Amino acid sequence: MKKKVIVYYSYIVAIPIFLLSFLLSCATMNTGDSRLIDQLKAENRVCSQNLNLFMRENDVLKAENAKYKKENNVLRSSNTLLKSDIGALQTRYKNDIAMWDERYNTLQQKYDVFVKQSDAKVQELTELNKTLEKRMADEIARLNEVIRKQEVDFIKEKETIINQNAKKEMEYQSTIDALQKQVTTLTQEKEQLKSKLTEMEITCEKLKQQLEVPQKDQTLRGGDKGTANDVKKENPAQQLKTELEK
Amino acid sequence: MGLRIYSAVFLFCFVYVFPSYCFAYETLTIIATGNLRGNFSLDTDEKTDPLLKVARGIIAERSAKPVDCYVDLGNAFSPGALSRYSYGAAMLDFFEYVQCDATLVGSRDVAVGLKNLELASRMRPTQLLSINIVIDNKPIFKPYWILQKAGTKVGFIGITSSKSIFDVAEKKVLSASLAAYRDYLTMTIESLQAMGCKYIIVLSGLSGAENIAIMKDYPAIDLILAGGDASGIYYDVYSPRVDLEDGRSIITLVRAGGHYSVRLMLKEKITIEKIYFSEADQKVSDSSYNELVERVNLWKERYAEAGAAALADNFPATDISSVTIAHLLRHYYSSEVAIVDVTDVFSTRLEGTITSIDVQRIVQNDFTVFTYRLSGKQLNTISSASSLIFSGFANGKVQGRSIEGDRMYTIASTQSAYDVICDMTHKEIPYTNTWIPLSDIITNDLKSKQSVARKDFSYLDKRIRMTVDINLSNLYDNSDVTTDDSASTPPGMPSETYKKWGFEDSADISFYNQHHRLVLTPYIYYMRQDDQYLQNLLRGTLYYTYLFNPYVNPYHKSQVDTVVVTKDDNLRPILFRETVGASFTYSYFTGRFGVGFEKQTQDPEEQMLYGAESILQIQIPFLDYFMYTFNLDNFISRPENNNGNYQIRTEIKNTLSVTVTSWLALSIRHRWFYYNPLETQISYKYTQILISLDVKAKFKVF
Repeated sequence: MKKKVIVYYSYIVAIPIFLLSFLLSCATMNTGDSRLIDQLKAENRVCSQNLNLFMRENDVLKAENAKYKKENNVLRSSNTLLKSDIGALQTRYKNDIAMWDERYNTLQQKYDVFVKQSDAKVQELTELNKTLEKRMADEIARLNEVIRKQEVDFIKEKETIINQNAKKEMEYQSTIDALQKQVTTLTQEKEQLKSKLTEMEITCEKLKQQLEVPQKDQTLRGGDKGTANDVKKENPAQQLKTELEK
Repeated sequence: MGLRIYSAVFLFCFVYVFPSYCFAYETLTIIATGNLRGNFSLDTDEKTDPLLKVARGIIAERSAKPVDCYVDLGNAFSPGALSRYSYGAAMLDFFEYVQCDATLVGSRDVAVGLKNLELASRMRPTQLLSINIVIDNKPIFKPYWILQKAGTKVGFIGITSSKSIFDVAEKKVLSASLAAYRDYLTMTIESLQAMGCKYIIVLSGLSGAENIAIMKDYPAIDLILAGGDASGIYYDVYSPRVDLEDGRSIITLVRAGGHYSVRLMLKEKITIEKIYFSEADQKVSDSSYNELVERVNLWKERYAEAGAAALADNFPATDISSVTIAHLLRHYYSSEVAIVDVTDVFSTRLEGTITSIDVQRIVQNDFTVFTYRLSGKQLNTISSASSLIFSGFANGKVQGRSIEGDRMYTIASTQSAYDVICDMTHKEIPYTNTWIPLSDIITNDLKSKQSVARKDFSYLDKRIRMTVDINLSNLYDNSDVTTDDSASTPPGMPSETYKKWGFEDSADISFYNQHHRLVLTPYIYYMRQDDQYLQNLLRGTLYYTYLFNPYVNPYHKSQVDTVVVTKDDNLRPILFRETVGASFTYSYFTGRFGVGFEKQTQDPEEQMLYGAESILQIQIPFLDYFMYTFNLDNFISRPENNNGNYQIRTEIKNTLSVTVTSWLALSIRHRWFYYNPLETQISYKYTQILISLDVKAKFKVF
């Protein structure tokens, strides 16, 4: 009986403990492997990302490179064309150069001849120039002397004229002074005459008035005789007045 | 007099507007960008490309006025689809053509892959800066960059945000980590000063509080240019510029879609003369811009070629969101809960022909998917995280049931969500890496079942789960008394040698889904002292409940009791009890009230008894490690034709347990048993106090 109990007990205790230990062991059994696998997977992920980066960047750079290559090919073909153009141009240039060289040489020869000719001419002209320059210098000196003399004469003449003018001015001045004195005198005379005239006018007025009284008396006596007398008396006064006015 | 006044006013204005021209200060003009996010458009129209617009602005700025350097403040490489496709190479091309001198590695940039960034940046003129991203305790990127202007050296240091999440593969392979930046910062500042740097500028992706702390602790730093991850929030207030009392400043440049121009005066300390943001589209005819456009277009063409193949045709119109993707994870990994980070997925609508470009557009962080287990307590802890999107966990329930603190739940999540969870729970949670990126899961689904297009994911809650909860409580007492027969026994001491041992073991094997729960519980309670059986109960229970209400649900229970070992009479009585009733759950309380019958079928066979069952359990955890449990199991019964007598079987247990480890507890238990048999009506009472070491193991099978 006791044995049976122990058997029961063994089962009852063993099963949960086994289950528990099994589950716990399962949880830890593969820890080492899983760590390694995890590490490998991690490395795989990092490496695959790096690889993707390189591949994609490489892809873009390849495309860019291809584009540049294409452009390069176009440039190369155009370069070839340009080179052939350059060749043709160089040939033409050589020919031109030869032609121009020939022309140049001809011209050079001509030039040399011209230079020689021109040297003689230049010499001649230089001599002529010197002569002319000398002549011109002499002429300039002469003219300068003439000018100097003329200037002296001119100054003298000028001084003479100035002196003459001064004399004339003095003469004129004295004439003007005399005339002014005459004018003054005449003015004074005029004033005197004006005053005399005034006095005479006054006198005339008085005389007139004196004349008018006898006339009235004569009118009362006869008008015609009195008028003729008056005319005779009036004429000397009128004459005097005219003189004064003059 | 008037002319003198005009001259004085003009001079004052000129000095005010152009101080650097009037005084002998060197100036430094910096172009800065941030959060460019690799935001290339996918069409080859340069006019509509947001980043090419930024490039035009920078090139125009450079041609209009002298610029000393161009720095980027982080988050330039991700999550833009083209940038991620190129593993950052397209953005490095961008930086190369717009003559970027240095860029800070932001938290989102690391999603491209540290090694990829490091490889792609080799032989490039743009320096990637970060002092605190380290591999084997050495910075993987350059910690600083030195600008030399008219014999004056200005050092730029990069500090990456602590929000950075590294790909688990890089963590494993490269031992990459985000180090505490302070140690490296001290070292770097000393190096820069030794190299003759008069001014030190930090490019920071840190938070506002961290930036202020750095300025406080490192007076050698003249200026912080924050951006990328920095939000410019200081004490809950947005402040794009903070001037410290000693004249130094922290500038936060957060705007994207253009570039900042920062003009500094290099006096005794750096002072800020002018900052402005420019996002106007400019016309440029720069050869480097044309080359940039050509290079970017090549990337776009390659990307279009790679992503043009159709993954699905005639795909029904479906809104894809973080929740949808979380459902998809739960679908494929049969987890109870799936979690994605809010930044993992870009919500969009898919329809018609779907290509991998669409998948790339959806997946912002293409990390691999993790599966692991979280306790109910941990789930409760992370439930408040605004950055996490859950599937299968809502309102504190998983598959319709309130989560239990000590129960483990199967989780499938993205790596970014996992990192957030570890950060919140302050614990490194063991996980299994599926090594399948999120984009592959979506791609495979689109090619095959197209589960992502389902309108209803409630079938996920109908999946059958199985748990096994094992409770082992054992005792062993071997007392050896050595004495003579004539000797008297001291008071309180045993008079004879005895051996007492026993165990109380049970296992709850549960199968359940959102609406059904079936629990099979073998239970053994066996204790003996020498040849005497003190407890000898073997019980099997089959319990089914239909879950339709959070609090009250109907149940059916079949229970069979027998003895573990037969006694000398060789009898094995078997007692069946069948009950139906209602179970209820509320907070710490669970209980059942039911009616049924009880019948002993053999040794001896007895008449059928009809009765009512009441089972109550109260479990109150306290002080982290303690648990008080109250159990009441009562069955009152009477035969069909009875004279009014009742048979009562009641058991009350009070248990106080101290958790030693998650699977081991020390318990003190008081048990009171009352039995009033029908025939004799002579009551039997039994009281027991037990101290035991309990092994508790909870397994989630699937």
